[in-house]
Amino acid sequence: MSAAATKSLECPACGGAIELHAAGYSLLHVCQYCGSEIDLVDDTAKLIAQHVEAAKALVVPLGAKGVINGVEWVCIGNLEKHDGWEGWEEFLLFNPYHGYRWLVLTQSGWSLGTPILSTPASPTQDSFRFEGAGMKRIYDPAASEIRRAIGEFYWRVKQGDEVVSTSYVGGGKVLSCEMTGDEYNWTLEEFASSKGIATAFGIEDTGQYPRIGDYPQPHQPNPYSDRAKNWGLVAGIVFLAAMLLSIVLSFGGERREQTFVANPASSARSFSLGTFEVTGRARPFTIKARGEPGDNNWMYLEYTLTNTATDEEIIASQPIEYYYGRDWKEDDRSGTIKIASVPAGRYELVAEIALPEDEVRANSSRGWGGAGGTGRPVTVEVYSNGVFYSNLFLLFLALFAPVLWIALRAANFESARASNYDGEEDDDD
Amino acid sequence: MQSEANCPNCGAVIGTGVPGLPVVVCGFCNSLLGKAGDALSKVGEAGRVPFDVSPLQIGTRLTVDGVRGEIVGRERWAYEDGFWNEWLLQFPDGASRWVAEESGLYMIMEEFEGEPEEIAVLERIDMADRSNMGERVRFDNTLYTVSDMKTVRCVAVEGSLPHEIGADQPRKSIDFRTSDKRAITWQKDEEGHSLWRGAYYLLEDLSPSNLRRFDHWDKPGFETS
Amino acid sequence: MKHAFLAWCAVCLGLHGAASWYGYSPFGDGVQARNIYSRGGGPMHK
Repeated sequence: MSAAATKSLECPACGGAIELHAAGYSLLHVCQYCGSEIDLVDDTAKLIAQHVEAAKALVVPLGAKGVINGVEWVCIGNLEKHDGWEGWEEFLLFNPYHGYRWLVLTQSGWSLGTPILSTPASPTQDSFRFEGAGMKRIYDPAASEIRRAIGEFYWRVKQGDEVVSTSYVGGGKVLSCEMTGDEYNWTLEEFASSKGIATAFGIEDTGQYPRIGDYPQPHQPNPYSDRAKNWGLVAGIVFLAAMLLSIVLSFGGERREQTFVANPASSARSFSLGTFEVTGRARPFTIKARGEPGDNNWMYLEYTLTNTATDEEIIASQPIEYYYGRDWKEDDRSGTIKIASVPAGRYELVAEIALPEDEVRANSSRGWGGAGGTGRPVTVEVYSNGVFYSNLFLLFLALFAPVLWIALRAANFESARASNYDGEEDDDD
Repeated sequence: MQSEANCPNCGAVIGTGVPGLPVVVCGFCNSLLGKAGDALSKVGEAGRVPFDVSPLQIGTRLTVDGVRGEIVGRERWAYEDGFWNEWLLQFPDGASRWVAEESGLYMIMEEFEGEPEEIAVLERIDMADRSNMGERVRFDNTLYTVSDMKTVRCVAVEGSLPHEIGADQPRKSIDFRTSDKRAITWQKDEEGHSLWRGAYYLLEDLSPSNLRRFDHWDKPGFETS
Repeated sequence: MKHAFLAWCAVCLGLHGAASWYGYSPFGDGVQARNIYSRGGGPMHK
């Protein structure tokens, strides 16, 4: 056997049709057509104050029903509030079995508030623990005024009524405390997505930060931080995989080390470093050299890698230098050459060494003689494969640039959020 | 099981209410009937319970502190700034509690005897005016704050009741609250005083069954059968 | 958004993989001289 859920009556002032959804609980109804206040205490609709105000179109109309988190609610009242800095609206939702909720519409989105029975803390505290989360104060106690009320309420609300409230954030939720005289009323607020509210009540999506508003709500989830972590993880895994692949592909070459001596006194300048096999496909070719050019001196190595089948040549140069002064030093006595994409095949490697003495000799008619005739040793380590770490570095930049970009957006979101909080020092605004 | 009898006022066939409770209401003529043995006699007017959307009804079952009881009667109280229901919750062993319901909040109360010193403090607060609001009082080693003082009247009753309640008989009521959902209520009228202690609950924490059904409202997920 | 990033990672990994497979790098040293004649001896410069 099912009872009627609403009581119909006529506004005693303007005759407008009124549906009461919380009969027996509501003390007051403000007519949405003319703004007149109707007292419901004595079970008769008694006109308290007659007004002539224009009907206002509500984002969530009176009587609209919507399902939030599996429970259906009907909108029975609307408050316009203002705290001197900005205004917002609060919609009173009702369900006979679940009681009341407050659906708040701010400049940057929606929030759903549930009145809580107990007192989590004293509003004089700046921080405390609630349900396992640390709560910290974000809005100092401040008065907000009710600019307009429409619909049914369980207390005698009046235009101009002021209430002082303070808020805390923690654990992804906001706790607000309204202080009236000696009574504290705490409300637990949770973020509600504008899309969820639009779907629930069949209204248009009013949007949320960053589409609207100057800052996100204190409990609004940061849409970028999870993404930044996920992307960072993916980028890290991809990078490690690429590094592993490069290293594995670099196995299997021939490695040989050889030392020779370039002597300015002798004319021997060409040294054979042997033959090497590049197997299967094009590979990097790595030549590491280390030499002793003498103090403040240089020598120049020119490698020629000749394909024994096609006679094609690849040429690369390696300077070996060592300069120093009293308090500075330029030590380039070692260097690595990596040749890219050497086609598969058999190669002969020859190193030609040029010494500074050769140029002098070539430029002057008289020979340099045996001056500085000590030998210049050079050790060359050749490997017919290799890893291009520069490729990996490029890959790292490419993979993590978007991650950095997202992380910056996440940080911007948080600083925008915090910019709206009351700080510990006075704000000059 | 209720037996049936004829209402002495209007003659309608009515149930005689819960055995053991002295008062029952005739739902047809809204008369308050007293029971003496098998005889019914009219002792007052029950008033008419106005339309409301309370989810509780006579027959609703609730579990409090692990014991399941059934609602057998209701009193509706009003004061200058509002109104609320009090439902009589009867337990199998004959004990009973009142479920005070206001704006979606449920306070379950049982009567208790106060210590003489506590009574003296309460009498003093009762005599004073609202300047005692916010004053702290100690009961049973717990600190309570005076949170509400009002003059209340019973405007209507229904079902089976433990006493004859005069409609419109005024009574002074003072509420004391702790910070953790517990409360104490002091009531005084011309016949004496009574002390009640209770705690606030959400309906979903009381394992309710046989809740009232409404057009266009689904029964809640927490209703048990 | 997420799919764009995954696609980007796939492209980067693919390019890097192809480069690694063929031993290619934009930073590679060496000048290829398609020269079927043997060069003979002597310094390159001068």
